[in-house]
Amino acid sequence: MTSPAGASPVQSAAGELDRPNLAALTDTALTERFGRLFAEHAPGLQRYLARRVGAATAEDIVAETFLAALRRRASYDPDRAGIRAWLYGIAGNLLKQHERTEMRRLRATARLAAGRTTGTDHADAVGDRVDAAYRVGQLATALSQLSPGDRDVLLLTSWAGLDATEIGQVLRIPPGTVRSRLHRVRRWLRRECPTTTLPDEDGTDD
Amino acid sequence: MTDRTEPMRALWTDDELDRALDALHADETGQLATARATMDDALAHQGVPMLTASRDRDTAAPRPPRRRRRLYASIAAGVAAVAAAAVAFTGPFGQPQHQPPRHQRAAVPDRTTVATVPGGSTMRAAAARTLRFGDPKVGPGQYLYVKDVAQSLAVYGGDSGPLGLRITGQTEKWVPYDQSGTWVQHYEQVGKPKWVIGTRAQIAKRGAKLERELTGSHPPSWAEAICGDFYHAMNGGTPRCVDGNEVRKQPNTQLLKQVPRDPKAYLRWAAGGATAHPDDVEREAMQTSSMLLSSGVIPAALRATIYRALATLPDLKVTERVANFNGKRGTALGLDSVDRRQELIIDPDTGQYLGARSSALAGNDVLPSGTVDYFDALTVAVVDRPRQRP
Repeated sequence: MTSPAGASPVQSAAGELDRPNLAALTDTALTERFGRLFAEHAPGLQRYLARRVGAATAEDIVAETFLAALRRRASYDPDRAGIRAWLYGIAGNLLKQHERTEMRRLRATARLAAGRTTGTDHADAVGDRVDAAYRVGQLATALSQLSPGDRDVLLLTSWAGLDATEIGQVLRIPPGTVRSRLHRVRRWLRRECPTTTLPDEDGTDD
Repeated sequence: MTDRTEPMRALWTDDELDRALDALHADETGQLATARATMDDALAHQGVPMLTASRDRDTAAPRPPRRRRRLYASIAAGVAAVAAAAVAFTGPFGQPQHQPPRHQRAAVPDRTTVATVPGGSTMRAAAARTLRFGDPKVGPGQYLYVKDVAQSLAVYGGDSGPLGLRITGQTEKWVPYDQSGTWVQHYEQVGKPKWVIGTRAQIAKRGAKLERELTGSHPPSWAEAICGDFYHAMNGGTPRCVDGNEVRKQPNTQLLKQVPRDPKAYLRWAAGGATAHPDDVEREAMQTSSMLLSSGVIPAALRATIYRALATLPDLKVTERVANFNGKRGTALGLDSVDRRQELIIDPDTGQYLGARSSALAGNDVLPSGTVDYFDALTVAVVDRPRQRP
């Protein structure tokens, strides 16, 4: 059974939650709404940002994101983007200021992984654990070489769990561009990422 | 060797790529208590913005919301970070395409580092001396006067190359004998800002506007707040002593009870607790310690704990034996990260904390090696009333 508008009550409620009309809220409703928004979206945003720039910086960005959202709530247009995409868009702009932090972390991870693998003997080097650490290090190196736009698309997908439509709203590009960019980035990572080849089983490079 | 004419082949499967993505920085966790408190604070005032009017643009945020201790010092950190992002992508190789000409670089302090030696023994000696030297004797009704003069480098990116503006600010604080009482704070800019990175043509074109924006967003100001909670006092909130405040950003007697007195426990706490990433432990501990020490209100016993904790950092080095610092002689103890050196300056005779310094190392994407982008000098004294200067 559907409503005259074609959406079930459950869908309507979900839609209202996803695209609230922030501009029309009274003070009391505003407090309640932002409390819910924070409870619903801040943990995910924190986890995503922490993986990019570290936990302490991430918390600062989360705080700034919600303060900015509160301050600019009248500019939120539910017809243009879901609330999650809007929040990630604000956070993304703030994240740009921490580009150097992110690069430093990626390079440090790459160095750490290299240290863990280069000092390992042959038997360990072919083990799953070292192989995984090696790949993480290689991935960190590769991510540091991506353009900011490509990195955003990849990590918003993998770490934040946003779909192409939402990422398009975050980055203000068409969903089709998101998909093609994601395909291109993943292809590049799969083919170009291992810039240093793992030792073969006989201990030599190829 | 791989045949370069060989067609591209998939070296990773999609599954391997996804596993690597899942694993990368997956152990990075964190808390939201401070962000939640900030949000609650704003909501309690029903949307009163906690950010200044000059920060209407999303990307122009030189001051994180909770970094009130480094209110002015953070100009460099925040703006430099913006600049880093801008500069890093102006050229095709992600590197600055324009280095400052020689006549401009001459204005940038050179790195004065001597051969480094481990800093553990120096910090342990400083701990012993700071305990012997003790604290300024503030009597009932008197005030601890804390003056922090900070020189920051604000770096702006742009298509034609980076621009760097050095600005000096002075923050004075009057801390009551009973720290739950009313504190007074005054900030003012010292002297005129000075352009130290950029060509004459760049400065002529953009300098005046950027300078107005920077100095205009930090006008001279007085503030009063109980427990030294200037953050809430200056942002429309209600000052409070403990709840919602972070000790490392705005310490007072009550908040300092949260800080462990055992060096090992302190180090864990200062690094962010159990959730700290192993790569970040030393840097975070150094940063937290610098923030606490630069408040000027850390008692000698806790200073000694901090020094003893930092003495255990394997990478802490004596980076300069005689740092000429605001007319005082100090020993600089530094920690190098990828492209940056953080230093504390300690008085070798008294173990007193004199200030901090941050400089770029080789490989910095924006600044020439040796460029000091933050430098502050701390002095303390005892006065009889607020707004009185020694």
